[in-house]
Amino acid sequence: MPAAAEPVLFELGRRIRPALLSYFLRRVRDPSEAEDLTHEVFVRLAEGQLEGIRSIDAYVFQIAANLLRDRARRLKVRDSYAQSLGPITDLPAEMLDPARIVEGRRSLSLLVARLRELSDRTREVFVLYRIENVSKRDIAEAYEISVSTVEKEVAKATAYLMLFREESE
Amino acid sequence: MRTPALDSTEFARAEEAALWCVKFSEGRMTREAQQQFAEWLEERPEHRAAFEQAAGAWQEVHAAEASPDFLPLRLEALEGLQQRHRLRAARLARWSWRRRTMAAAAVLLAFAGPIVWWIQHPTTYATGLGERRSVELPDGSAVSLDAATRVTVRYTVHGRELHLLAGRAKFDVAKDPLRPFSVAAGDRVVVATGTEFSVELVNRRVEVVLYEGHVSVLGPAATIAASPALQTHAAKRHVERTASQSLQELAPGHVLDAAIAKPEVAIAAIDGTKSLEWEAGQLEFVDEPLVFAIERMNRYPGPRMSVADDHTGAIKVTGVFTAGETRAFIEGIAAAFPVKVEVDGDTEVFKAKDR
Repeated sequence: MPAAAEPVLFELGRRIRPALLSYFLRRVRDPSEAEDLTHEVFVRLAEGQLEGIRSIDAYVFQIAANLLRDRARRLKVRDSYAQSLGPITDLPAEMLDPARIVEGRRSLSLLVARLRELSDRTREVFVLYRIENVSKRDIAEAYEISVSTVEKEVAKATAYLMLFREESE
Repeated sequence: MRTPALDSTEFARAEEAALWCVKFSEGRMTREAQQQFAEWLEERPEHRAAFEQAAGAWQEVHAAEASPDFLPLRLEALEGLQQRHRLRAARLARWSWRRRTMAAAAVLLAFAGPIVWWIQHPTTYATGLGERRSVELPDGSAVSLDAATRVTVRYTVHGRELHLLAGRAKFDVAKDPLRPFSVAAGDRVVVATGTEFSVELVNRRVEVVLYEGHVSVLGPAATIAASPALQTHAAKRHVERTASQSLQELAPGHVLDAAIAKPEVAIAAIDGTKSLEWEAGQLEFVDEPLVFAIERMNRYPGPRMSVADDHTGAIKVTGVFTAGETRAFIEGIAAAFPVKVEVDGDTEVFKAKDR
């Protein structure tokens, strides 16, 4: 792997891995296979040239869709194509639906208001980790808490937004 | 809206699901952690849905981070971090005043740098192939970006200056008579006060569509001409008027079409809803030269396309295509016209069929 690609892939992973895993989980039932496929996407990303790609997200989901296709083909050959496969599209619907994106933008001020309801520490840790890409260890050191507490604070804020999201839908 | 109680079972479950997102986001998990995740998923049927929800919420935060709404939160968090660093530094070591200042400055540079930059410099919003996004600007104006589009935004006390560098964007301008809203594209500048319009750069042309309100288009000594070449570019539109001035007023429901580095400009009436179809992922072509249709299709994922010669590029294409379905486009064109498609590297090249 070229050295320069590593931090890019790390940041990309922090952002996109959960969505990618969820994408695979909807299509292959087995969680460890979904995890393997997620990992495989990053292996391919590391091998490929990232320069000149205009939308990395679209590219990531294109790789994901291709992996699913290859897998379906393999299963067919082995004559054990019994497993249910969801519809394969090149991009997940949520990425192509501008109405949803616009709607999302409109609820941004609500999202900010929601984060304001959390304690200062939870909110700050969440923002530092998710948006400013500060490492867990650096945050833990500054706030004099354990790394697992950092993880819990991030999870708490995410859960808060997740339930808020459910209700506003 | 009901606030989820922080001590509810529902919240605890959401937190568990979100914690898996944190673990996954760091990279490959150990076999042991994977095993635990599989067990957690199997434990209750709701867990699968909870994880999906958490992954969705996780992704949404990324969409929010470029928004000006988020800026105060980011500044506060960075200030919080700095303060913690300072407190720690002051307590842990007997640092000299000088070294402490230097450390604080280093922290400030490392973390506050990007944000200061964000405020002082123009912000660039860009979309990749097949991607679309909508951005809200600090004054309440909104910009929708089509695929493969690049827009820079600079707000000053005197005006709101935007620059369309590539692609197509629609602008929904918040009224502010003291700060004109301008969009530069190619060698044209569109000036608006409170209105809704789109600007597109395609094949060295600037196309401005006005949906509501008024805009003025400034060009390099523009001449409005009813040239046949422009009429063929959009046969449905008919050229309505001619004039010769460098500042052109545009009325709602009209499109202005200008070639870069050429003074000619054509103004025509449009079917107002048609041009907005790109926002819904549909591309409609009405007697459009193949070369323009290809440039628009190329903004979405799929094989790149080009034409071998001007003659093939001039073929008039009519039809509705789904953005990103390049295969269907190629097959449709090859079936309807005497053209064939040859692969050249990673590009599909349209060529006239041999006779």
